[in-house]
Amino acid sequence: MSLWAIQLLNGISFGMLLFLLSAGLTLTFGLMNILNLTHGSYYLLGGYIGLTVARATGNFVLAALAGSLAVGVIGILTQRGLLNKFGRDEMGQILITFGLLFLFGDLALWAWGGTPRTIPKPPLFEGSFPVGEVMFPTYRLFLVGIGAATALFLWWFQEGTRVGAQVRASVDDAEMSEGVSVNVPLVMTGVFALGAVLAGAAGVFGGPLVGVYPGADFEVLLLAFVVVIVGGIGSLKGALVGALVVGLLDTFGRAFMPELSLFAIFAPMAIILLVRPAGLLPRS
Amino acid sequence: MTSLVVENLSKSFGGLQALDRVSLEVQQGERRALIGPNGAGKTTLFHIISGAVPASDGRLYLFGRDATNMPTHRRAALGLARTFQITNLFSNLTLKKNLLLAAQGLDHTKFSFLRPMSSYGQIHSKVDGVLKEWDLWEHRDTLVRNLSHGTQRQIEILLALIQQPKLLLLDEPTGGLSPAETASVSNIIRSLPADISVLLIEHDMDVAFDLVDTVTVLHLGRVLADGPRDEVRADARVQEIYLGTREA
Amino acid sequence: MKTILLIAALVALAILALLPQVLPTYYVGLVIRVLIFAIFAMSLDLLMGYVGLPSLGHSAFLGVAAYGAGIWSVRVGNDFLLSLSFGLGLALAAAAIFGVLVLRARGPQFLMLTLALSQVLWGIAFKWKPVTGGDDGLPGIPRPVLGLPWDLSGPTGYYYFTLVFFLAAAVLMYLIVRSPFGHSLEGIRETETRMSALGYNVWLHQYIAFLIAGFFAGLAGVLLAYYNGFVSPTELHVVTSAKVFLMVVLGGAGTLFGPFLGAAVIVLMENVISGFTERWLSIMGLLYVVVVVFAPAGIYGFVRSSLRRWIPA
Repeated sequence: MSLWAIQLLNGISFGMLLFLLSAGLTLTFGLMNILNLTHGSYYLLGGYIGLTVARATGNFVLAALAGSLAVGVIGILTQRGLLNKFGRDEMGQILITFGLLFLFGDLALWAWGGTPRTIPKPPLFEGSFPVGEVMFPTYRLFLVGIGAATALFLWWFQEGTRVGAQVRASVDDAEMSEGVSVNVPLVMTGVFALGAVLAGAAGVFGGPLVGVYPGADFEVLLLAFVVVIVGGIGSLKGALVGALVVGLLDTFGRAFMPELSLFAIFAPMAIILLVRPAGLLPRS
Repeated sequence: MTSLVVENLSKSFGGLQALDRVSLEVQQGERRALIGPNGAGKTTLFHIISGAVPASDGRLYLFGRDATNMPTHRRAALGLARTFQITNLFSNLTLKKNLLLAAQGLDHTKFSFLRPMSSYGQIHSKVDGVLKEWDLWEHRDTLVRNLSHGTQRQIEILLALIQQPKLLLLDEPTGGLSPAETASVSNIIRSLPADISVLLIEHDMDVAFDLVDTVTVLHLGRVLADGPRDEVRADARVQEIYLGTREA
Repeated sequence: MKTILLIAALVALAILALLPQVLPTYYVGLVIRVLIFAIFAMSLDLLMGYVGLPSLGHSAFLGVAAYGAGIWSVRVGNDFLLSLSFGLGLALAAAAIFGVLVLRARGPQFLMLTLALSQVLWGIAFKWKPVTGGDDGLPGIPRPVLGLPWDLSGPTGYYYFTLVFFLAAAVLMYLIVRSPFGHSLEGIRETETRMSALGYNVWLHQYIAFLIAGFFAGLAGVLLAYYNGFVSPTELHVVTSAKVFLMVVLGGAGTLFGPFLGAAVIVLMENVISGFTERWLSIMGLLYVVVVVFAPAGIYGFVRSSLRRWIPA
């Protein structure tokens, strides 16, 4: 019984991490029509930068801030410098974001080497608490909290604030928005940066859990894609539901059929495509 | 034989009711105009008839067959052709290639994998004939996106005609054209073979009433008036909407 | 114009035929890889350049066929026809399944799906040790024994073997794009709605194109497995999809010949650059950005527009 409870909690906490990761991807697409393939790199770089800062200062909060903000800056530079000018059409976006995915991944390998690393947990969440006969890491509970808080924040931001309304307006009709003095380029860069920051943060938060290692960028990119396909692209609600579904399936898959665990991810994707191609909770 | 029967067709997008129990009929050889203010649902109706968009409710019959759920390409095989309001041509291909694609659409040779396109003399001579007849021979190797807007609107109709359709849906064929170009397109429509049925969406009332025998008026997704041209033109309710929303 | 092209083709053919006689063995091996990747790149061009479906997961078909042929010849028996058929069969099966799933999506979903599906296959190959050898790969694939007086164990022998398949594949793909079916693909790339309105079953055409592309990519995979003598999960990894994608874009999508050039450039570049740095992937990533900034139409487009400026038609 507690085995199932543990896997359930594991799945939910992993799902929350996935949400953090995928929210940025789906936001960027939903609001800007850009599918950012570099998203995997944001996770990777966030994790590595967080790792370096954590080892230098011993402070997890600083590491998290450093990782997410640094990646945010990279995102801004990418969007302003490249995507804005050459990423007007789909092919341009693919070429830029795909190319950067490989560039960043390889530079990270060069800078930090090939050995997998972990980020030490913050002291506050180092312990564990009992669930039945087994001990469950407090850090995972922390992840659930972070994920929920982020979801609430994003929801409030998108629906409840003036800025959120401006963002929605800019996407729906850039020309009109400029007419009523919404600074469209600023809004676009802001959204892009937010997506990057979230992914970078996911990299740091994921550090103690799954580690930071070469190839993580491709792995999380795949997971983010599945989350977004299952949940519905462009939809925050979809990202949350998709993330939980994928998180649970991946966890149970690894626990019960480790060699073919990827099937556990592949199957829901295929089913969704055949039955509900727009995803579970597509944006209207 | 009735080319088209639309029976209580409704379409809603989320909360918006675009079409509300629309019914109309087009007989073989009939020329009918579909008019109405912006947003009345005319192009939506075309999309449903051609199969691009499914209806929410109601049925539709093409040449006696229930086509409500038929995929677009099967409707084309039955004899339906359409033009698009926003020019929808093969922009990066030459004019000749555009016409070849149109001519081949209902031909089984489109599944020929290894024989070169150039070896199909019949289709080529048919297309060459059309090019010459329509005075477009000199443009045959020009990329369509480099042709003038007026010529492109002409080709819109041409691609539909090469299919040799029995029912032709024309969506604002004179959109954005100069008076001279409009006259030219009107002539094309006027001289279509008598056995082709035509359903025409047109914004220019003079052009519309000049080319058709019957008119259906749509307003806010509903059929407001339907009948012979002169009757509809004299209808007080029709005049009211148009007087109220007439553009300069 | 046609006679010039014909003569150029014959000259190129003569050069290709004589290469092993003049080049050192090392470079012959390089040209073999160019030919294999050229088949791979041209097959992707069918999908990307002609149908307009940019797949980020084309490595799926290369890898699946490579593993198929490799596993057959190592575990069952070194019968070339059987292992070739098995490899191609797997590639076609993968294309048949992927095609159904992937064609339900457009735009970003399509991109994500193609990448995701091939990555899932990579993951399976990586972990399924008993069948694929896991991350150790599948070594010891012998060169085919044809039963003809043609020794494939050395580079020269295998070169001509690959050349024959390359020529057959290139000719077939060329015929396909010039055929009515090929033209219909271009029409679909331009506007699907118009093609439907004209009577074309767009989905069917796209699906068939997918199968054809998967088939030729599979052929490249089989040839690669035999050339390398082993298969590793890398053949299924995103990196391989990215490499072939770049070959198509760099060469010029929608031209068939462009991707052949692109394959040559990338294979040679990777070989040279890997000689003095480990940062080949960084450079590949940079090339992506360079192409989109400086030459979106690829080498082929660049050369063609330059020629137009110098030689107004």
